[in-house]
Amino acid sequence: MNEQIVESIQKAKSASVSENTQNEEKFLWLVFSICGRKFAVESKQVKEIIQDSDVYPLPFVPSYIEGVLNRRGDPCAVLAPDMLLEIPKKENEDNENKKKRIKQAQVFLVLAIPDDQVCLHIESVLFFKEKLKSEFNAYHSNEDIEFYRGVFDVDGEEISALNIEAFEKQLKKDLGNND
Amino acid sequence: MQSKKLTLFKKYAILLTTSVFSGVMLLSWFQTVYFMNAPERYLPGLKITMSITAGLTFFIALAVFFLTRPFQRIISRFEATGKALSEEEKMIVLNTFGKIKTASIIGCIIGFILGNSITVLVKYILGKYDGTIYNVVVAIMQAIIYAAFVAIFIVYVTDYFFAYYRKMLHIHDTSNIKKGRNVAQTIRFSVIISLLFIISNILMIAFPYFPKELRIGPINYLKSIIYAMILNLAPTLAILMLMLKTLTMRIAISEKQIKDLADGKASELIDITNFDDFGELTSSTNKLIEQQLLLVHRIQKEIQSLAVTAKETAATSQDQNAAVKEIVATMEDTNNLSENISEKIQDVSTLAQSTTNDVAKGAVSLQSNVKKLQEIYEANQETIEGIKSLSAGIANVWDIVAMITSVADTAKIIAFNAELEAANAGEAGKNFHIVASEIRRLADGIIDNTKEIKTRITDIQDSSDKLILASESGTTKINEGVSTAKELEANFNSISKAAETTASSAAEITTIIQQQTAASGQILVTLKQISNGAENFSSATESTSSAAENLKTILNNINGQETSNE
Repeated sequence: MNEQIVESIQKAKSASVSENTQNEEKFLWLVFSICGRKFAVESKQVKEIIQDSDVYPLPFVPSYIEGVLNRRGDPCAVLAPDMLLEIPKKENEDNENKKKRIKQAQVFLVLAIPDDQVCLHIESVLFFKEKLKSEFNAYHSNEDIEFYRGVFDVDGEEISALNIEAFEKQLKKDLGNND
Repeated sequence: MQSKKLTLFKKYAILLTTSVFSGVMLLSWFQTVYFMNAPERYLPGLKITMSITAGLTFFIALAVFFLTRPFQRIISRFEATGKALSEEEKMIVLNTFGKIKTASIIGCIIGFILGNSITVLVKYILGKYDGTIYNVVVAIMQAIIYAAFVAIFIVYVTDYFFAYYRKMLHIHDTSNIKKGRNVAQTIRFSVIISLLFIISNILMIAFPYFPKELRIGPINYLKSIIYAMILNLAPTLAILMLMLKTLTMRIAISEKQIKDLADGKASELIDITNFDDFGELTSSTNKLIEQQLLLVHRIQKEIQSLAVTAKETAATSQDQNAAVKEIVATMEDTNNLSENISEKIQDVSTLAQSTTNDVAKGAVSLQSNVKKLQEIYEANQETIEGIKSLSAGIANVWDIVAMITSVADTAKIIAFNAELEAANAGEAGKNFHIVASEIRRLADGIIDNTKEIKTRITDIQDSSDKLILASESGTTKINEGVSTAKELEANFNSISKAAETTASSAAEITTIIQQQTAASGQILVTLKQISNGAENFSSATESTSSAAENLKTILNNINGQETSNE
């Protein structure tokens, strides 16, 4: 195990050397799943991953806000990205089952939003993927709020990268706080 | 009818008158010419004699006329109606002719005595008779003899008529004791009269032809009588022989007829030539022959029927004999069959007994099997309990795996967070990122392994469930097997009882068949006796048939004509 770690470190060093030589910008993507579909966010936009934390619902909030959770004493708003992203439910699955399934998947991505505690309720965290900038196809949308940032390819599968700022904007928009 | 009655009377009167007058004239001739040796007195004397005879004949005819009146009425009634005579009428007929004969005899005696001897006696008393007292006595004796002769003649004639009319009236067979006596009396009377007539002839017929000097004096007279007797002996004997011959011939004919009848040789009826007593005897003989022929005919028919019956009986007896023999053969076969059946039944009994023993063994084995099945059931139950316990243990393992998974997930999340921190740390966190990544991989590996474990546990649980189901099914099967075995045991018991019953029944059947065989043997012996008896009966029937045939032949010989007519 240790040998493998040492070996991995050495490979990382050599890769770092070659990286430096190429000097091209890279993105480290955290790939996760929501309702069976894979999405990704840039790792530096994720503050923490929380698991198995109780979500306390909040009154008078939009439906995509499930509630808040206790992040070591700090309240953290829990968003339901599937509702914002309008991810269709699985075949032969009603809303109750969807809620139940989502509830069972108690994994939350705490977003690295300054001065704010917001997390996305996802299904599971899959893996990290490092991609060159050239390998990322960014979207260029004119809309005010665009949840999708772009798309990249992993082993022939297209994975959509989410725009964290769009979630922040949507939250501020709906909660009436544009600051 | 009146003319017929007169004809009958006329016939009788003419016959009587002519015969009586002829006889009287003849006797007067003999008396005056031969006895009195005075032919010149014949015609003068004949006037008186004929007058007396006429008067006598008249009275007889008158008596006969009145006597025959009831007889004539019966004849008229019979000819008119044709009905048979009653007993009273038969008695009238018989009495009529009896009275006629009695009257005729009395009339003849009185007439001849009055007409012949009284004249001589009166003349001798008055001294006008030139003969001796001997002549007078002879004349009186002759009168009596002639009267008897004429009476016999009249009786004969009367009997002739009587026989004729009896035949006509179909009472010819009405014979009684008087009729039977009548023949013998007639014969005896005829013999006596014949002897008297012979003596008279001996004394008188040749006497008048002797010279007178020879008839003078007792010595000469005695000599004359002796000479006359010697001279008259031959014709007298001839007459006597002729008369006897006539009588004996008739008697011999009747005797022969009766003898033939007695010997069974009489096959034809005898012609009735005379309507006298012999005719009546012949008629009776014919009647007897007819009865005999009728009897023979009946016997012949009966014998023929007997012969046919005997033949049929013989045939039937032979058939019965053959049938009895067939029955005997069948009974022998049946006997053998019964013995074979008895042997087979004994085999069946043995087999049933063997079956009973086998079934008992099978029942024991089955009970052992049931016990084994019970043990298997219990072992299976223990197995099921073990599997359930194993399932419970697996469930515990499942919890552990879940806990491991949870730990692994937590570790993974921590590793992710570490990676995030390392990534955010920049170059300084690179190595930490590597360690965190490896830890995450380790967590992934643990998660994968726990997934594998989960799969395996799931498989084990599935297998365990299947095993439980299979064991439950096995339990059910075992229970069914136990139930089937118990049913089989019950069936075995039933089979055992049935086999015992079969053995017992077979033994009883064997006993019954043995008894039946014994009874069949007795029946066989009896049937053989019956067969022998039937053979004896058949031979006896054949003997009867042969005897009937012989009897038939004898009867045919007795009555050949009748047999040929049959």
